[in-house]
Amino acid sequence: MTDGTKPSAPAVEARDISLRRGGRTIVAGVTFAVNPGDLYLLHGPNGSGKTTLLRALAGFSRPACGSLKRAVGRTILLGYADAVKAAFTAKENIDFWGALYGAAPATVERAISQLRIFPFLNQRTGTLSSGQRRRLALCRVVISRRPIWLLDEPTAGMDAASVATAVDLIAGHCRSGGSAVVATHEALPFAGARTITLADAA
Amino acid sequence: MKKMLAIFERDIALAFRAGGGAINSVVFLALTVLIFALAVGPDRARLAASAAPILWTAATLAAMLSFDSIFQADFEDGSLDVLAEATESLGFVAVSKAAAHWVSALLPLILATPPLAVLLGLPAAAYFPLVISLAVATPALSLLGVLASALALSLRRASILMTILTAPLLTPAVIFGVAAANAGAENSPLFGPLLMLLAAFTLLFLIAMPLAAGAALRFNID
Amino acid sequence: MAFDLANPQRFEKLAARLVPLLTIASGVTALFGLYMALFDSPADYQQGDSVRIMYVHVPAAWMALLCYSTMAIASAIGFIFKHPLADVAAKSAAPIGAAFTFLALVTGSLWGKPMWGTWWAWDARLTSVLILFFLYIGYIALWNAIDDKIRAARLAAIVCLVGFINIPIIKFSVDWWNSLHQPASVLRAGGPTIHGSMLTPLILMGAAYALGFAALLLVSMRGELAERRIARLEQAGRPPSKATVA
Repeated sequence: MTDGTKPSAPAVEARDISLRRGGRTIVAGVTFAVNPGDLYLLHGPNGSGKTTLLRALAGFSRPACGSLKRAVGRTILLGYADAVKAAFTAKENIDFWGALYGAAPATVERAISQLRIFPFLNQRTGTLSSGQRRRLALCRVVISRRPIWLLDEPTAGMDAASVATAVDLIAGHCRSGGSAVVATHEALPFAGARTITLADAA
Repeated sequence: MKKMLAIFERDIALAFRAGGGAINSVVFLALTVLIFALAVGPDRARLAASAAPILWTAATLAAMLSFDSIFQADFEDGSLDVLAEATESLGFVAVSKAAAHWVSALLPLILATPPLAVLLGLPAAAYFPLVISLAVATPALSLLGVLASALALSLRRASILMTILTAPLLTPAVIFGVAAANAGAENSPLFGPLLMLLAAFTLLFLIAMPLAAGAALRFNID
Repeated sequence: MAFDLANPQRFEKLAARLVPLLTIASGVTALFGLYMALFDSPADYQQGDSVRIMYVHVPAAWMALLCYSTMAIASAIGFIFKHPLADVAAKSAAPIGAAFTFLALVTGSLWGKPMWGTWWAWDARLTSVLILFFLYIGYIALWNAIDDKIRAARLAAIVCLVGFINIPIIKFSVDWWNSLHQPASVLRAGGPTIHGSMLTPLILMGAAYALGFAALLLVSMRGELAERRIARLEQAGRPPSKATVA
């Protein structure tokens, strides 16, 4: 999982960054580093800039000020949208991701079993429940084999069993040298997670 | 390259899975021809003389109508983020999408042209030049369509605006396309050079449009 | 942020001083130019007095291209250096350019009536100007269709630059298309072989148009900047959230 990363250098490091959207500064003064093994929970009310921050960490937008260092091609973002094609079966979606990320069949197999995709592997994803689709979306994160996971509400719409699966997966990833930043409204049972809380300055 | 191929294959599969898109374009093409014929009247000679121009016009319009679908679905379901992140180059994504658009949306239009030309009474010698001129020039339409569709993601009233933005840029393709079709039909020595001009135009778009579309996409997903 | 505000302020001061100067210069040049065009230059031996439409038409066509070039340069600067003043310049130049282009079309058509006996001929130049007019319309419509100013500026810059590299190709194709379908037209009789007594007023009128364009551009840029300041004040209500890492 940590192929090629120097253990000393943080793969993502934010120093006092501010993020703007639509002409307004949404978040200011964010400083933290993501080192291998780190797990951050990102909390904050709606509109406090969690998604904006995750997207900046993923490289989609540049901070208005401050410095953001990130290793190219090492982060993987799971947005609030599942990026799942409804006309495809779960397997077809997975096969496309495998080709896109150049993943070995073994990686794909493992992702399928870790996220318990088998029961609906050949079902069109348009007919899946939102929790099942979310698990499928997480499957892509595993298939990408990228070390730094940036997850925006990964457990949205999941039942208790699925939440447990997702939590195990993320915790396991961080134990084996990966890292994750998880934006969430839920109280997810992670041991030893650090938190980033976004709140109004006033 | 493998990633580009994967995106291309996925788009083709999606186009045929969703169905309807290409068929609708072909029906639109046929209806335009029908309306034109009704408007001109059943005079065989007049219809035959304007067969190549009207088919070119109808094909261009049908192509423009198909532009808005190129990125819309990927943008809405989050796939565009995935493509951007996985490839690190939206320009290459744009090339893949243009290629897939051409095969799934414009190739059917080109294939539908000869039967429609029969209805208009196009002379036998004119079929091959017409189809060839479309085949050489339409990739430029797909490439422009990719830019239009990339721009459209953050627009209100996107579809009419896309027509306004793209039509002026298509004028050279239409001018030289119809000229090539006519030159070929008349066995004129200009046929070859005109096809070369069309190919040059397409090549220019192959370089410029993915760059522009990639930049537009980056701003639209930031 | 400092960059974004300080520079426009200096621009404000400069513009406030330049606008009256440019307006007066434009007016005086136009007076001289018009006098020479209407009274002090010969009627054309073929076209008679209607040749005088040229003095409003040809500079308008020049301006159509000059405005678009201004937009393209401003767009490139805005796109590369992310300078908001360049974005504002590009946006403000567009309606002025569209107006000049429209003027060129209308005067061309008015000129065409006595010359060709029809209001419109698919003359190569007029056709190119018509296509240019649509490029302007598309550019302006794009600005109006996007709410986020920064995103609008970047996307409009892309459209402007793509249009700009296409203009020579469009011009070439229309010229070729026109020469294929009809012989050289009356409007093409102008050009570098024009007589000095006609050239001087033409250049004067061109200068008057260009000065007028500069004045209008500055006025319109100031308006746009003021609008943006208001928008910024309205938005300033909500402070950014702060991050606490634990």
